[in-house]
Amino acid sequence: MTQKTIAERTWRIPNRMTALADLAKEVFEWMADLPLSSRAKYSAGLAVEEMVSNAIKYGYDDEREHEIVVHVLANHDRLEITFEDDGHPFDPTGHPKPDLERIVESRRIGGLGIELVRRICEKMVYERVGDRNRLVLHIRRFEAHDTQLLSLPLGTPS
Amino acid sequence: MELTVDKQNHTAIVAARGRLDAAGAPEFETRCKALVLEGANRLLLDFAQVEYVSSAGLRSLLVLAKTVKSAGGALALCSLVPAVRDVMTISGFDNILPLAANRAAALELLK
Repeated sequence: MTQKTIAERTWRIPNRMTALADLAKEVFEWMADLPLSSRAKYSAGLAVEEMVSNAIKYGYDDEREHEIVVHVLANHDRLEITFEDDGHPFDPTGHPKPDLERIVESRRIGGLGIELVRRICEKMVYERVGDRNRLVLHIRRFEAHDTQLLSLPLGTPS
Repeated sequence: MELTVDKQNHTAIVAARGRLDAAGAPEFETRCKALVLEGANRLLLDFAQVEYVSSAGLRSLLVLAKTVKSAGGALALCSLVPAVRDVMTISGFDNILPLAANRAAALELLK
C-alpha cells in the first residue's frame, strides 16, 4: 500500500559543522507549519542533528569536502528521514550502547546521540549501497500512547 | 545560550535560555564548571527557557553532575518544558539527574 505524501524536501550540505547548524534550523522551520505533533518535530530535528553530526565527526579521514544528503518525507502515518553520505561504512543500528563513564571522560567518545535516535525512532534501516551509507528512520507523525518511548537506563541491555 | 546566575553561599541558581545543543553545550559546561570552582558546589539549573536539548547537552549535564559530585556537592534541574522532559525520559537520564517541578522543589533536593 502506498502512503500519500504530505510534504517532502531534500537538503544537500557539505560535511561541515557550520552547515549542520543552518540545516537544523531549516529543517525546524520547514516542519513548523506541517501537521505533526510537537514531539515528532522535536524528534526529527534531533535525529537530523545527531546523525549528521556523527557523519561529519566520524565519517571522514580526509579534509576534502563531502556531500551529505538529507531527505525528509511526511506521509499519513510518519516522517521518513533518509540520510546518505560517502563516509566510512557505518551501521548505527548495530552500534553498542554508550558507556556513560567513558562519555564523561572524553568528548571524542560518542554513542549517546545514536542511542537517543534509536529510542525515538519506530524503525531504523541501514544499508551500504556501493560506496555510500544509506540510513532510513521512521518517526511517528502523531503518537497514540507514546509506547515506544519507554524509559530504559542507558547501558543496561534491553 | 544565555545564562543568568544567582549565587547564594554555596548554591548557584543558573537560569538557562536557548538550545543546549552541540553549539550551546560547551559554553554552558564551561561556565557552570567555573561556578563550581568558585565554590558553588550546589547547582540548581532552571531549564524553564531551554527549548531543546541534544546528546551534546546531555553529555554536558553528565559532566557537570560528576564535577559537583567530586566537589562534594550536587545538582538538580527544574522546570523542564515537556519536550525536554521527554528527552530526559527517553534517554533514561531522568534516573541519573535529579529533576524537580520548580525551584523550591529543586532546592529541597539540594539540601
